[in-house]
Amino acid sequence: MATNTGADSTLLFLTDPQASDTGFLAALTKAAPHALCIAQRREEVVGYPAPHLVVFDLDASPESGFDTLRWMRRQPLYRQVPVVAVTSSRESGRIDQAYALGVNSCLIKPEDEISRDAIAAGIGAYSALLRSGSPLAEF
Amino acid sequence: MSPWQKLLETPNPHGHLIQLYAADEGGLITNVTRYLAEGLKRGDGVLVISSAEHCALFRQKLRDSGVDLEAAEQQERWAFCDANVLLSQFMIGGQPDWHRFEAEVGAAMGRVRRVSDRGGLRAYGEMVGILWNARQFSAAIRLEQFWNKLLGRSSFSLYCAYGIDVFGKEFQIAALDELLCAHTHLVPAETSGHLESAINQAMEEVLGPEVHSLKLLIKANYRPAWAVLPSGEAIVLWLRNNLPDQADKILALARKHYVTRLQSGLGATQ
Repeated sequence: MATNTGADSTLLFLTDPQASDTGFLAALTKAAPHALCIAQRREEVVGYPAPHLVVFDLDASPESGFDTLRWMRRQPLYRQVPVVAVTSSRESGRIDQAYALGVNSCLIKPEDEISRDAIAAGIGAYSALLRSGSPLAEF
Repeated sequence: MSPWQKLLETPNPHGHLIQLYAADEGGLITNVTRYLAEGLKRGDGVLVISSAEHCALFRQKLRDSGVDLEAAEQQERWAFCDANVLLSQFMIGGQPDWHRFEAEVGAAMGRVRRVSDRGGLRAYGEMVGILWNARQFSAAIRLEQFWNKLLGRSSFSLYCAYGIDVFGKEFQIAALDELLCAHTHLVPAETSGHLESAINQAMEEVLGPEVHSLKLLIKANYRPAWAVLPSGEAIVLWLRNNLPDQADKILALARKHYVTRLQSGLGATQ
């Protein structure tokens, strides 16, 4: 079951919580405290309102993440939801695969805490913008 | 000298540059002339595959900048091919044919390379842009792949031009992904940073204070398969792909700011 940190989830973090970068997860939780929902598989996503933004952790359990992303892009409810992929590796194979599956952008996770927090804050701001300005707000 | 200007003067040996231009072709003429002029000064052979009108503009600007074009022509280091005519030599059934392309373009390249110092060669081409403007997108991509095949086999640089408006709806990833993957660098239309400044101004006006956090996100966007992008153009692509509902409004405002900056000669940091 997906972990919901707040009632008004707008930001879905697709990751394996056991394998996830705890620093990045903590930064994302801080940036979007009432809006973050964490899920690993598509079964966990079903039943929740469509998010305004998905952050896909390419490093933690990427295969189930790719499977979920592939499924999402076939669902009318999720087809237009922006997806941001995050990864520590600049290796192109997984990144190209993510773009081929419809990811909108990809970020390299910074190593230093200050930059990582700034990136997470940017994701939080992006999510808030989508929620305030997007037709998806009706979901 | 900006890094982009330096790139135009000393492109990588197998560099494959792309520039987009709108109705105002001034930036294209300036950049291409810089690229060709430096090549001629270094003793390279130069092959220009363009419209006759563009070639005339290049020639005039080269002369104005002090390049001895007549000497280069006498040495046969300057060669011009009409883009439409050359294209017609290797198109079959609406698609470029590799064997004919290799024969025709290879021959043109060989002639200037033979007389150049150390075999250096720079090529500028508009054939791909002609196909793209005629909405023959797959043919344009195929032709880019042919060029990349030649670039993989021999050392030269190639500079392509497309009539695509950076502020227009066509400039987005869905339409341009293959094009961006086929090149090493997207050259900005002007190198003083006015485009990025104009877009930043428009983003602040439309999105408000959140835009500062967003800029870091945009700068961090990573797509290894793509050409190296200038900041302004990278922001536009990000907006079209990640904030499609706000992109039209932001870019319409940005276009106005950009024109104002160019016309008034404002510094890029203002």
